[in-house]
Amino acid sequence: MDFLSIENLSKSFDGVTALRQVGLEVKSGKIHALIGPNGAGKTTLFNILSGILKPTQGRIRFKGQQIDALRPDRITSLGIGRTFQNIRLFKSLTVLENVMVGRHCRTRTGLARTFFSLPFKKLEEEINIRDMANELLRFVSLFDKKESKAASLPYGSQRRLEIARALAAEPLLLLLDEPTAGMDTRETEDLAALITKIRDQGVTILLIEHDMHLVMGISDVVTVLNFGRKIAEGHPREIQSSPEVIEAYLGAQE
Amino acid sequence: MFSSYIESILIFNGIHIIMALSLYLPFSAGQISLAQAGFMAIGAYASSVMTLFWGFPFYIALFLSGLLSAMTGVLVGFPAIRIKGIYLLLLTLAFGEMVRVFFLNFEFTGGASGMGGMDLQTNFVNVYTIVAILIIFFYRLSKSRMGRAFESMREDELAAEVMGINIVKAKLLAFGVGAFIAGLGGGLYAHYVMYIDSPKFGFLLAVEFFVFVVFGGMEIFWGPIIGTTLLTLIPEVVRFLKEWRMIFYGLVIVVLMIVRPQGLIDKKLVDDITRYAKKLF
Repeated sequence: MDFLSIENLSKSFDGVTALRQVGLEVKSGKIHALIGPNGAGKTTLFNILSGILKPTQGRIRFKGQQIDALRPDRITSLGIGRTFQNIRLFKSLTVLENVMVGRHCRTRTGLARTFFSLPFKKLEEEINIRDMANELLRFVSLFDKKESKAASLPYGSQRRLEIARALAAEPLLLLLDEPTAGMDTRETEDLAALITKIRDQGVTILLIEHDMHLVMGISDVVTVLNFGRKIAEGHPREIQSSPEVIEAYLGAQE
Repeated sequence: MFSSYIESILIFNGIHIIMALSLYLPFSAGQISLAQAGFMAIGAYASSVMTLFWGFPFYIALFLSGLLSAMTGVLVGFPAIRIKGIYLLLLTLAFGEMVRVFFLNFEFTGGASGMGGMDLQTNFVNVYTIVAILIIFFYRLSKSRMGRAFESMREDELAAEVMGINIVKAKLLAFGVGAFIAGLGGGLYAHYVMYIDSPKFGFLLAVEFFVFVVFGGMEIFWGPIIGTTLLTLIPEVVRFLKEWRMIFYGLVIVVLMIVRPQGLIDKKLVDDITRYAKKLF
């Protein structure tokens, strides 16, 4: 059974075609990078994968189950988590609360349980959520900031917080949309180490990224999109020497 | 316990707090509603029918009319699943007006001449017992999984959905429970004034509840409680201003919205007070 398979996926918006018959296989346990010039359709693909957009055509299977018609929250509970290119944290919630929200689909306590529980005794589930969120904040080195408002964090920390929030749902596949955008060299290196660490814990990673140094350094597989089409796929070394890719990035040589 | 004048102000204040909290619940999940006066009308009429025509005990009638109101709330919640912001405001406003016109023409509950003759059942103790229960509910909600889910939806609905929150369920829940609380408020109101007619539950009343919540602050449930209390008491305290009274009332709201656009009470203020109180004891 394939981990994630995308077949013949197309998406058009009012006549503008963002994706044309894209096929993609993501193997479990890998870091799979998705690269391509701006407007190549990378984020559109992520939005379809996470259920925000519905494809015009094509099929997506995740661990044998067809997911392209499911609601975003269903897809998350099946095990696909994501971060956003234009950071979408819950700004006025604290850092800790942001991660705790990420735990929502793995927990059960409803309104009635909340209201009718015994006084002065925290619900066990609530304690577990908090413990796990604390642990994840240590994992992304934000533990000492946990009581701050999410909006008050510097840019790079906000990106790491988004990763922690996504990890709280225990995803099997994590979609990272330009996780190093706006980071300096050191932050980028730290993030590369973090991504590798997440992969080593068994989470498969699909990564959109413009930092070629990072992509070539940590990816197991690279797929290149251009104008909504897949133009190349393979090991980072093969991609770097592929004429189509060089053309897409640098323009045709006269 | 109090003079009857003060007691009646406090009872109305309690009912207003209940109504403001009924609005605050969908608000906390990012759902704006001008339908609360409509839910209140449903609670008021339904409980009166049950006590007056069917001889139900008051508290059972109150609870059942809350449930009926909650069911209507869930129905209103369905279109709210896809409709947002100002369009939702218009939709809930239209619903409130539908309820008003329905009771204006519904002969069974007196139509335009209204409905009277209910027993006086509402008093200081039962109103404030319900307020206290609601405070416990909202306090617990604010520290719970569903409370966080609501807040995250208010902050960013799409991100909340992608983080695994079933926003359809959450919105119906917020509208339903909010309407339940409004239904209780309506039942208490009907059994205090002992005469209800549909023009009372028009859109001006819905706006009044809206103002209570915005004035007090939408970040935390203490906001609507304090906001309602101040706005209910201010017109009484400044009675000596006579006909200028409501101008003063308006002025207070204008000034506060300029000085504190987030409302009187926000989370930071509550945190500061809690910290200060802990230091004292």
